Amino acid sequence: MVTENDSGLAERLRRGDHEAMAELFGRYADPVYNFCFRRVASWNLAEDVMSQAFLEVWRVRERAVAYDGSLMPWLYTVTENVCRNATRGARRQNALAGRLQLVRLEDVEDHAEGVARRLDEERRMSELLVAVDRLGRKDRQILMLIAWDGLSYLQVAQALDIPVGTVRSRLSRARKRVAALIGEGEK
Amino acid sequence: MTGIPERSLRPHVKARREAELMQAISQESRTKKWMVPVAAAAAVAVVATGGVVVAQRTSLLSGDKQIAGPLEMSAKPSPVPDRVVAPVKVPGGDATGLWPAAFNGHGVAWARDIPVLQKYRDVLAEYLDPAGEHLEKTVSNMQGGDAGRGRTIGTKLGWTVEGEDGLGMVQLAVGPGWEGVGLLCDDPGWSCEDLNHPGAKVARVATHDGARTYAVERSDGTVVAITLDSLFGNNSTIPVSGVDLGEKEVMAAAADPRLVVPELDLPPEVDAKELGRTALKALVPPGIPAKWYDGMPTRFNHEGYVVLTDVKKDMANGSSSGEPGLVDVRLEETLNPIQMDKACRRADYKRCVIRTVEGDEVFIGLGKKRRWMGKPADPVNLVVFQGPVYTVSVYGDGAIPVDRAVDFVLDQRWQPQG
Repeated sequence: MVTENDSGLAERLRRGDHEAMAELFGRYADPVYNFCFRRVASWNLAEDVMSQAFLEVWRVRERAVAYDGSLMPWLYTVTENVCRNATRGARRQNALAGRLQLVRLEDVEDHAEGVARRLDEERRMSELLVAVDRLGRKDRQILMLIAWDGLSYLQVAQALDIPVGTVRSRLSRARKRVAALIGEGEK
Repeated sequence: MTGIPERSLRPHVKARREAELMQAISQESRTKKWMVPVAAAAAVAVVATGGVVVAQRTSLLSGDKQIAGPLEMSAKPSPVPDRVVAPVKVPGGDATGLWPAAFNGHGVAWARDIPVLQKYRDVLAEYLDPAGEHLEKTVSNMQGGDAGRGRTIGTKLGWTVEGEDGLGMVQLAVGPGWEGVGLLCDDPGWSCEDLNHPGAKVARVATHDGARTYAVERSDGTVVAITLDSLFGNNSTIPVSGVDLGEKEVMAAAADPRLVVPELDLPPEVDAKELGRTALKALVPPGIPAKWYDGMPTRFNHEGYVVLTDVKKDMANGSSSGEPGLVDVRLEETLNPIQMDKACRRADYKRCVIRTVEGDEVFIGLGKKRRWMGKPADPVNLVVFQGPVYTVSVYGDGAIPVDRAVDFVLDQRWQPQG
């Protein structure tokens, strides 16, 4: 049995191997789901966006590339675009969507405490997003990929094709700025 | 940043989402929805003069309307008229499996390794199936990757027994060390035992999940693992008898020095930034706001892409949630050049021509109309040159002027010599 790392998986994806796509989903559905939540601040929307993101991944599969042995950076790059498009539409429907989420089947199965916890998580995430939205695009991207999504400096540097030093300096700047912004918000 | 919530998808939700995804991509494969370029508008003026020829200096979509603005490159005049190629029904599946990715979307890694894997298969057959009765004759899949010390490659071969309906499997992995060949001896479900085998530095047998893996490390460090399973789980639900071959034969096969991963003889590199900059300047007409997707490696060898995207559509990182990008430029090692007269897929192209420029032939495919996610989408056309080192292709919408695309793919910078 060959245990395949992400480079092999990327290779199979590029060849259009359906089985590779299923493996990719199995490996990364949860990380992508959480990645999406950190962009859209809604668990239900994150689930939909995750599905769209994997469809998009299939569409652009020929570009699949493993950085530092992991497909995650590339996967996140693709997903980020899908999230951005999704949030644009979601902003317009936020109030309504917030209500609709409460009556979806999965939420009905939740007990009240679970629903409250989800909503609390979404509120906290929204607040964080408001704070990081005030960063420049490049700083925000680095902060999210490293501090939130857990990519390494090297992976981010490779995925964005910038020096590792630049990654470090942008991250440092972003962290200070967010801390200041959150401080302002709490005053 | 602390306190950011994390959740896992519930199992039933994950299963449903996966099923939806797999259904969607299966449908896509059947209909070629994602590959079918869109209707090119009448871009080609056809003039009949002792045969069908096509007027040169046309835009892929906008007829003979030339894009204004300074040209970095200009089309080289050619005394040879364009040759119209009739769209044909191209066979699917394995028949086009070795085509350059520019034409069929498959990666070149497969093309590079399939002859190697076929040789591996023949070596295995000498030991495991000398009468040629059981082992699948042709390699049809590849596994592998890079586990840090170099490439591991392998394949799964079917094993059949006359008179039985089932399908067994012989799986092979060859790599420069133990990391990539898949022996999981630390896993509680695996049981591993070291053996003595003449000439082998290490010989090991493992049992797991009803299968048995024999592995050998040779003196050069190469590790070969051969797994025998009476059920080829990916392709059958019915096991066969008789895959439980003798240890001696399997170990001898694993120790065969012909099972070795060949060195990658890669072509000279191309500077991806130069490719991107040139593509942006040469291919995107003035007035169209586009940028170069910079998420790719700096230097290309073997294969790579540059994606230019229309920033108006906010596809800043090379992909959108459905619409095609403005243009993909692909560089891939020329391994198996094809006869381009046969590459005009009826399903994809409304019309194709072969343009000859100073003796070099360039394929120009004008895409058909299509719908994308229920909406009309931009047509996608294809220009390909199968150069001596790299096959260069431009895959983009009708805003790309064909003359520039032809010049671009013929640019000698994309054919570096040693």
